[in-house]
Amino acid sequence: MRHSVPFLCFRALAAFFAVFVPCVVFALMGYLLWRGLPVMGKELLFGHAAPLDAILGRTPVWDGLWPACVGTFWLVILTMLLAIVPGVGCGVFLAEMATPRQKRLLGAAVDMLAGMPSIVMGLFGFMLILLLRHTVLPDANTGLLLAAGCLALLVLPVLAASTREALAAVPDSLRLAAAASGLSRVQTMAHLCLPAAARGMLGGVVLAVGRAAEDTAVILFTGVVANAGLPAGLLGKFEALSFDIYYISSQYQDQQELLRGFGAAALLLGISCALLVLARVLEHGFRRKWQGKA
Amino acid sequence: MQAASSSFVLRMRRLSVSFSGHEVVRSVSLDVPRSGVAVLVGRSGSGKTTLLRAVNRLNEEVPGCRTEGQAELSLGGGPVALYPEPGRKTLPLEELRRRVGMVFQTPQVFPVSVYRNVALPVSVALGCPRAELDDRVRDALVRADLWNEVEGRLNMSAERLSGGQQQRLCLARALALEPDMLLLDEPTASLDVRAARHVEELLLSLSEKLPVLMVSHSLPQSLRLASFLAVMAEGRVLRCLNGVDGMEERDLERMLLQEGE
Repeated sequence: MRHSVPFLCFRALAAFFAVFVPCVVFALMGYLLWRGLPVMGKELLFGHAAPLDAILGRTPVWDGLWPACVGTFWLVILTMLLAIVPGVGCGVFLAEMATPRQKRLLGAAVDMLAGMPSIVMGLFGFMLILLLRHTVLPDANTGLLLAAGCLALLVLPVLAASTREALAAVPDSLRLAAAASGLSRVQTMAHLCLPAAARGMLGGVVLAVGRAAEDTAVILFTGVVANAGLPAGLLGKFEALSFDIYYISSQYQDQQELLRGFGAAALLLGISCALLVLARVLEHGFRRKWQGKA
Repeated sequence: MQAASSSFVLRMRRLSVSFSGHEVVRSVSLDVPRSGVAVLVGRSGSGKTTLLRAVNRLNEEVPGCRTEGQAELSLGGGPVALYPEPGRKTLPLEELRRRVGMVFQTPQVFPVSVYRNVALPVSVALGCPRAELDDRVRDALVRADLWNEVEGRLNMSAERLSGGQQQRLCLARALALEPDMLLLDEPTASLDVRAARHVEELLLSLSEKLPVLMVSHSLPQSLRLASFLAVMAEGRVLRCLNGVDGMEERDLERMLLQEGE
């Protein structure tokens, strides 16, 4: 079959970019691992402290990245705990229950939140603490919970939009068939639509986790510090890998320190990947249970 | 009306259905006998599907739907009004749809395993205890003549079954809820000839115990199955026939042609 020239050009371009994107990904990750892996090891994580003692929190770690890893981990988990229910709830409402007018208004609000620069979100958190100090809580201070709250605001629209899209992709015929089987709308939602949309929603969770793990601007104003040790609690200061990378890259004095930055970046990549794999495993397990496959 | 209702499973009086002001079913009065297969026949766009969906009130899932007129179901336990009428009791929507099972034109299997397809409505809508589920699923699959084909692969995704098997699975799903009536919307339209015949035979045998109301746009099929036939055009029921014995396809064809004018 003969194709026209425009079609051939179009196909060649599409193929080029299809290869281009994975190339960029591999180049980025490859470079990061190439620079970061050699410094990876006990010392990068724990410095001069004994690893077991450091993990159990018996000795403080002064020159390792372990506290930042723990900080980032808790930050992401807390953020997701705070964001998933409202984000998914908003998406469900938008997809299933909203009138056209509500869809327009709420959709605009979600889009606006999605377009908000993260530094603004950080400032918002900071102002909130100032307000609390001047009013009901004179001792309020920035910390892990506030940072997670602000990050949750940042990732909310991602979750809402992906939930809405995933639910919109569930065919109406499925809803109709469920209704014809005597399932109420809530039952249809809980037992068919949400599980069927789970994979699409997971896409949103993956994006949100990545966003929460990498963002520096928000936590800059809301409780991250360079040397806090392990997070002392929900209200305590904390360290985070993203901030460490930023800090090291702007303050490094010698090659060794720069390499530590690369190590931190590789670690952050590792943590993000691990969280993604965890999400995927959870989704897979849930899917099997829902679909009833042995 | 009440005294005579026992021989009719469904009676409609001046039933009209419209979507966003556009009238699809126009003032239909129809008595559907309890025994045998009742067939609604007509061209596409004649309002057959909408009339069928008025029986389990599925039209109401579509925004902008408005139903007027009266309809009465006799499912055992006395006649009940299908749509709210002053001074008469109606069935709750979910109960109505459990008791009036429905199979769609294209097989609407849930994207879960074969087993779960049948078990899910039974456990969720009917609240059937877990211990009884296996038996009910098996019974339903046997009644839909699917058990022998899926016995060893109940955990397989239902979407991997053939079209005919999927349609029988949908039938099993409806039967598992132990309905008092079955609605079928061109159940063989998306199947090949052999699978269609299989489903037809199944429907004939089911109709011995269960009132069946079905939409068909195939005249030969209507002649094969119908013990009661209602001809529809432009949202109205134009003619009802009790039995089609001795009729041929061209008689029906002529009837439809006349009605269409």
